[in-house]
Amino acid sequence: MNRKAFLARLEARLADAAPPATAHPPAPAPDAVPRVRFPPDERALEVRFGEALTAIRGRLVPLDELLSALAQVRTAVVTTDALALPDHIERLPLDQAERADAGVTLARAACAATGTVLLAPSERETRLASLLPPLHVVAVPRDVLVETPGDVLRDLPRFFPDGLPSAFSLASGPSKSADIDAVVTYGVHGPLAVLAVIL
Amino acid sequence: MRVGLFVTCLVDLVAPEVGVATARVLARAGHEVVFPEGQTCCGQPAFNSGYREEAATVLRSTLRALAAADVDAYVAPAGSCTTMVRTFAAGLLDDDPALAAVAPRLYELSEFLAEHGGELRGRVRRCSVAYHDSCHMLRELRLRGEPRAALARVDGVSLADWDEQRCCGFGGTFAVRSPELSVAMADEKLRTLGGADALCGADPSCLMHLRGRLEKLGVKTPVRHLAEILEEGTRP
Amino acid sequence: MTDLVREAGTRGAPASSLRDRERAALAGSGHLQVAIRRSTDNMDGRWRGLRESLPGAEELREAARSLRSAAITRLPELLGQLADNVEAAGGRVFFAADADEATGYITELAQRRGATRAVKAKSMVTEEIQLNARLAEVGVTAVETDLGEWAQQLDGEPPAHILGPALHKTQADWVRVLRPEGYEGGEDPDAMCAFARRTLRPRFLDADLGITGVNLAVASTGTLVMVTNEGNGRLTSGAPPVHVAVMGMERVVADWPEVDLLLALLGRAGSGVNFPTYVNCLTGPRRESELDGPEELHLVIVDNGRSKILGSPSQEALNCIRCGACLNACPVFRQIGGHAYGDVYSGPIGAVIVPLLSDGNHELSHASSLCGACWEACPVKIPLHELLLEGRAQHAGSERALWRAWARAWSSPRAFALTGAPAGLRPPQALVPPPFREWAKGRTLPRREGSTFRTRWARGEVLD
Ligand code: SF4
Repeated sequence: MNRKAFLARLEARLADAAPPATAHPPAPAPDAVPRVRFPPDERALEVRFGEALTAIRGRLVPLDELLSALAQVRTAVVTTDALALPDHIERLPLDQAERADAGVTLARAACAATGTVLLAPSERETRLASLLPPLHVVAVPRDVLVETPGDVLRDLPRFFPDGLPSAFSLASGPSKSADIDAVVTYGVHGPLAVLAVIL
Repeated sequence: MRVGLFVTCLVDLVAPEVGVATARVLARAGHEVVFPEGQTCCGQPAFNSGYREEAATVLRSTLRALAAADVDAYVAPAGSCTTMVRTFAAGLLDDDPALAAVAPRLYELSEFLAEHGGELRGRVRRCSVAYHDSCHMLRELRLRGEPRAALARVDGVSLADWDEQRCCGFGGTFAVRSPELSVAMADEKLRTLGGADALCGADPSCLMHLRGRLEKLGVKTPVRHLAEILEEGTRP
Repeated sequence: MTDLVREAGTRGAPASSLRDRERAALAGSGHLQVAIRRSTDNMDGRWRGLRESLPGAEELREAARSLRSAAITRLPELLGQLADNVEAAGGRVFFAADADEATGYITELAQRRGATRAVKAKSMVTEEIQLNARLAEVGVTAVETDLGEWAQQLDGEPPAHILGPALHKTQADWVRVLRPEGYEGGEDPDAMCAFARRTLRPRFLDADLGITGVNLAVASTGTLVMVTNEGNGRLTSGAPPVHVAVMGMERVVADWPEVDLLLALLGRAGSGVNFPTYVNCLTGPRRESELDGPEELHLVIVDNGRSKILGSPSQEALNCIRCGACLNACPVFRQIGGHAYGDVYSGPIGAVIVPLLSDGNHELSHASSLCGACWEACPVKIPLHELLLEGRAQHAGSERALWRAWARAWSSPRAFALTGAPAGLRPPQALVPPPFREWAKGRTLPRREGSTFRTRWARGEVLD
């Protein structure tokens, strides 16, 4: 069906709409979409970010512990210069993320309430670097910490001043599934573990 | 107050003792109780089966009978029939003067007692009661605290912990359209009944279904309407 | 169970009656009910807890309801804007009136690209249009990549739940299903999960086509938002050279603030988390400056019966964000599981939309006790119990004569009084009229003690 005919059919249905079958009709839509608030918390953003990330099985590590945290990592795809990686880690070309032990990328934003990071491809960052390797190491510059995912979703131009990229993701902790008998398992498709470092 | 009883079809034909208990409890709370003649049913069986016109016919005749009584309020010992009149009837009857006269003044029993129960108090032998939240009463009328508050007027009654908010599987004609499923739902609920001394509710239809199932299973736990416990506890 | 399962994957009128399907589901070993109870209690319990801890949860849900309703009344405008913006970002948009048009477009695309391998991220609408079967006809093997959906595909079953497609499977079932694929371990979810990763990873990387659903589409920027907890949505849309996103036409929202609100509700109601693990937002295919991503992005916007719901008294059903919370809360779903509904959509929302979408399986509106637990759980507060009643009313008819006779009798107080059986009588089984006979299956028939209430009142026996 072409677009015009498709939409015309909808117009016709709406023009002749029946009253809703409910004794509880909805209120008129509010002028502004209400914000999703979290219980108030006075602590610093980075403290809460670390706590929220831990709650979803990620980890926030202090910069000086990064070396020991990455002791097992032999290979990595790296899309950011923000983190000085230990020397023992071999840097693989970006198109070899599938082979890498870790993907090291930069967060464009990070949400304290949910432990969420904003990831996006660019001239140097691929979509898959943060997704294919079993470990995702994400560098979070302190000045991109915000309260909630709403602070990102409602303010996208701040994080993408040149317009939206073809893909961005809000990622909260490692890949998880509860499909097998309601038991939570990690890493079925994306990273098994997520390490964040605040810079 | 002068209170008109809307006893509902099921109480009238199947569980008159619930109507008797309701009338006595209201009288003991200091109200003058009348029974508007000519009332039958709120039309719910047809309404829930999708037969709106037929439901409206029956509903209209009951509303006319109720509206003809000179009373300050109406009380029904059934959350679901109260919901039918207060919530769903407006969609069936356009601008019906009898509906306008009855609906705003119709209360479910425990709801009425919460506002106009005065000092009504009583006592029974210690017994733990598993209270069943019937669905319309809980989710449409939002009466959760009221029936419990009514039971709290009776010393000796304690509330048992069980799966109180789960649907019992009655569902009107659902109970005969899908009898196996309806019974399985009752069993799911009754699984958690444990050692309660009595099962209590404020909707005679759910109670009829649950009692029928318990009897079939050979479980002796008595099933009692809220009004019956209140009546027993407040006997002069 | 096999008949049940076969019918669940098809559209239109199932061969068996609802009652038969209910009976079949209940007649099993009880494993089904145990497995469903565990999964749905877990999800329903988490959502209840989050409803309590989220400040202003009720207001947020009411607002979400109003905003969804408003978006649906602006559907033609918003879809037009969405299509313009997707195209401006380099994507292609196809408007499909029905399943044939949608699958026709996708199979043609597959043939043009010479595709033989596709990966899919779980999407109910592609189940609805039976895309996998159509793709197979043109030589494309589509692999489901959502862990539960993959198990369902391997097992030859349609999904049994919107979000937990395999929630009725025990760990032993999983082992049975994975064994032929080469799984050698035991009943160990972590080991099975690792096996799935190893087995499915090459499929993503080799696929010619990635096919996903769309949770929300943002009209203002032409962005497609998809939510997964596993990450298969990001892989499916990001790794293959062509990405096809299939969306039900109702998924469009005006702007980003609604995305914030709806994702907060979807994550909580659907998965019991404050925010979904992966929210993937796609605006067109890969840009020239970017290093990876698909060369082509196609958005297929599907009507397939939805326009019949639009403008109908049941329009609010289009507000659904497919979170599955109503299934988790439903006491009927809990007993009979998803397959007994005889369609890809099950639970309360399925019982509402299936008859409307397919103009068949009308019986489904009776697969409910109308308890309203679904309404209570629905994050966008769709009055599902009332829509089920509407469905019953729309297709009432076969019992008209009976109800008319009933109405005539019960609108007359005198005839009503005659309805009461004489006190204490329990007639022999064979003489019991049919509805009571059904009642008597598993329950004793009620028996009145003494006279009717009105008789006692008239005799002055009621008050102290
Ligand atoms: S009807 Fe409501 S609860 Fe059910 S799937 Fe849709 S949004 Fe979720």
